[in-house]
Amino acid sequence: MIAQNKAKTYGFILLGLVLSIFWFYPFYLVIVNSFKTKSEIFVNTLGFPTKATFENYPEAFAALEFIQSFFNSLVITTLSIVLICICTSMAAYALSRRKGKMSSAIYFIFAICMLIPFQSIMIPLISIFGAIDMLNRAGLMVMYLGLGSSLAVFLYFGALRGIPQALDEAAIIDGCNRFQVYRYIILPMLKPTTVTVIVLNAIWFWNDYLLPSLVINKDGMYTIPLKMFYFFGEYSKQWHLALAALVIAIIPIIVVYMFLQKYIIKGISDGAVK
Amino acid sequence: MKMRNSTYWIFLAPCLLALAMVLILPFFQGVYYSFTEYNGFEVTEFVGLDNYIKLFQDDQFLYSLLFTGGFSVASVIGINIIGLLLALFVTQKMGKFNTVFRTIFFMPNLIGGIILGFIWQFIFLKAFEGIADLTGLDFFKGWLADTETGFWGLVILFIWQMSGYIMIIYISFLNNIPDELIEASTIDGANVWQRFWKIKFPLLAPAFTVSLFLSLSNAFKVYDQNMALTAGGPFSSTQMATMNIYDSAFKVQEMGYAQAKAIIFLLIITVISVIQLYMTRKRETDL
Amino acid sequence: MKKNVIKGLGTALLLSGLLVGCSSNSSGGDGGGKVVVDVFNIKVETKDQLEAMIEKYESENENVDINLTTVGGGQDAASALQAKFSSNEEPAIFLLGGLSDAEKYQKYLLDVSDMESAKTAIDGTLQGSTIDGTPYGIPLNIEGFGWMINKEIFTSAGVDPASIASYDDFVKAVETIDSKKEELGLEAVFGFSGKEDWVTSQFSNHFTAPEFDNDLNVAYESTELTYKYGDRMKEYTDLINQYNVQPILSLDYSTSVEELFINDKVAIIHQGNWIVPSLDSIDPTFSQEKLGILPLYVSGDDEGFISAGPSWFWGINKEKDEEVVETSKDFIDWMYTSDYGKQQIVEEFKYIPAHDGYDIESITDPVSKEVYQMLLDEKARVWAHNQHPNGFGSTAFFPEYQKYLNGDISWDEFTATTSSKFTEMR
Repeated sequence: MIAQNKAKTYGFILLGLVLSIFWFYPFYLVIVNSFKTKSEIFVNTLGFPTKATFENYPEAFAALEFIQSFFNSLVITTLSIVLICICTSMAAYALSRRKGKMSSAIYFIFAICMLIPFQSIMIPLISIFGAIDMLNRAGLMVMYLGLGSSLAVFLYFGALRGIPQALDEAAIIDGCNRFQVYRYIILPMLKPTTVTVIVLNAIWFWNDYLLPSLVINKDGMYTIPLKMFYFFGEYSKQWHLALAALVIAIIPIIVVYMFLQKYIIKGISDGAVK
Repeated sequence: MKMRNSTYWIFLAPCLLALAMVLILPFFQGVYYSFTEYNGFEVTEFVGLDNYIKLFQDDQFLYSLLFTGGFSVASVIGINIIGLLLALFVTQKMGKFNTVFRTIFFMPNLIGGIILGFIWQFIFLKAFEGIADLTGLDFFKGWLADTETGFWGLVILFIWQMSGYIMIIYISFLNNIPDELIEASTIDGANVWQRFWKIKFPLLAPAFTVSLFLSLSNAFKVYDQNMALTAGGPFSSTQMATMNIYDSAFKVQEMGYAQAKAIIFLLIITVISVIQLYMTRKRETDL
Repeated sequence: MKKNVIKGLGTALLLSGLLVGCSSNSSGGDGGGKVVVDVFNIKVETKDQLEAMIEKYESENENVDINLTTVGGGQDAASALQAKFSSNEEPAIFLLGGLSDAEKYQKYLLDVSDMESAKTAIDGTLQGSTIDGTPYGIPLNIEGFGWMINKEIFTSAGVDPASIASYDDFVKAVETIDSKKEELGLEAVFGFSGKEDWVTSQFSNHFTAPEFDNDLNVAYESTELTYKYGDRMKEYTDLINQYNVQPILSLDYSTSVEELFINDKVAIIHQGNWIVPSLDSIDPTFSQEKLGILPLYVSGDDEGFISAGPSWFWGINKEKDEEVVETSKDFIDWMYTSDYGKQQIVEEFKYIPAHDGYDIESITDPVSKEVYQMLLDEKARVWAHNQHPNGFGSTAFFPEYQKYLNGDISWDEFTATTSSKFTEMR
């Protein structure tokens, strides 16, 4: 029995490795080409560099003004995520605890809003925020909250349906008010969902180009993607630098992702009322 | 014990406010623009329904809608099947490897669409060429140069990019399935298949609702990948609706007309998504 | 643990509150009593040079603070500029892509005719920003395009590029090179990028510019495109298609220029002098030794023309405060007429100057010199395709042209469809 299990595990691992090759191949291309000169990228795309060059990295690092851009990206990403996690989990909590026509209607509005293609609201959005003098980082965060709330509300709502109302009731009988229930009971139980929301949004905020280019394209506020697009000229594109920059930009995200992995814990409401 | 009215609205306020400012208000402004001649600057005249009449005679736009529809169907099916399989796979007991595989499958989401398009161009043009030379199969030749390979190229790229994302959603639902259930069924002698179909599958119903909706709405809204991989070519035959709208707005600079297209496009997606939500929701309660 | 999470969240909220407080007054700041000028640039390639220029200017003018915003990626430039305007953050100086932009932003644009840099602009270069006799922009530079050739390959094939003086000579040269393709190690004679809409647009210019009397305003006002020189256009197109790297429709700029052309795999591409920095970054000797330019023979069998002219213009926003407008004018004048500016434009920006009073010998690469000389000798057509209806080149002409290249439609269908689109889009 145990031996059989072992064999099964190894089989799985083998299968996983084969799949990983398929998934990883494009990354192999990114990494391997980031060590080539501009000319070699086109002549020898698939193979290892004939003579590895390490110059792309310092050059990309300098062109990105990495330290500052990194900090800017970090500020925007982190604060936007905090904002989105708090606001959407609260909204989802309210929706899940008051069934009825109103909640259904609001839920439906969230769903519809998710379908709006960004390009179609771009210009009006910018002019509205321009009119109230909000074309700055704070404004960008509000935009992210607006654009990202639908998905996050969905995810939280799905998780909240699995958390019995009885929990709230018990706490309220114990003398908590709604905010305390939300803060001390619900929020901790939503941790796995929060992690999912963080991961999905972090990547989007971290890599977003179009919106920041319209909102915070100003000296001192540049994020990494805004700087990265300087490698894409009107005619020619500096792929060797763009790829090196990409590798540099991805590393922090991977680190965060690995770190958060640990928190995706199984069985969220262990010990709670089932 | 119902939540009090005031509490209810306080909890909802921040989100609804942001939604109103960022999506709803601009959207209605867009609706207004769709009845006008608008260059992004000033409204030059009010044209009533002209823009809408025009778009129903715009073959390229209608074609791009169809193309987007086909792309979405193919992608959504592919993404969800592969995403679910990956989720089931990485939730097996493999010790340390779980995390590693999970990370690898999720990694495509770490790259923005433009770079992704570039990398996949290399794969379709050069790696495929290499495979063709090795195997002598013409199947791998001349990708992206015609409509059909352009279409499948986009689908492959999008499946590769998004199945890891959908996998995460399935994982978070799979993790909510109590271990006791699985253990109990194992003790009762259920095999892997039975365990999946009888226990996991029904409990995953809400995940299907979310995942289908997500992959569908994202497939409809694809722009970057389209721009970077085929740029709509050859001869606009792989142009998605979003790209068509973007071109009308910023290349032809007919914002009013582009807004009208966007409204019609939104109506179509809404109808499809509502049907999808309604059907999967119904399934949820049936199970 | 729980407490910590809440503390953390609280701090974060506070922080974001602070940020809102801090950042909301950042726009429209007075820069500490300085004159603040916002410059909106879309030429990513020369961002660093422009920044150096600005720094120098600021060091000479203590009370000026110039903020440069550069938008990358080329394609989003139009939308980014529009966003700036629709959000009350209009720049003081920005780039116009031709008459349609000039008309669009006309109510903001300053009449530049009394500026030094307008007076020294080469005759005719102001035309692309002139509406009803009023010039609204200063030309950024000259860009010229035609057949970019690898002279070495021509010579190895026994063709002297200098001897090509007519359409027939050109066809013969192509056939000769093609017959020696194997021994020269060529993949094909042409490396025409059929995947890039701007390449096909530019190609069309050689045939539409003479139809519009080589006059930008005529091109801009024209409501129809008759393909007066369509027959020659078809001949050229068929020639390219026959001797091009295939599939022509998936050949992009990078492959064409940075892979095939620079590695001697194709002899002729349709490009302009902007490829020089791109080539230099791979092989600096190429542009010095191998690169040449050949004209197209359109209006007459032995009259060859390239296309050359300014593709972008600096517009100045007259709605700003008077001192900002004055400073903007001064900065642009200084950039194109001061000795330091002139030197930078040629040596650092590697631009072909659009102004008189530059030393032609200081232009660093032979092809740019040649383009400049041809412009002065009136051997160059204007950039008429920039005055075609908005989006015509990329959304109407390009897909139909691709269909023709692919053999899906006949030439007559191609001209009929694009002509009617031209009229409709105007």
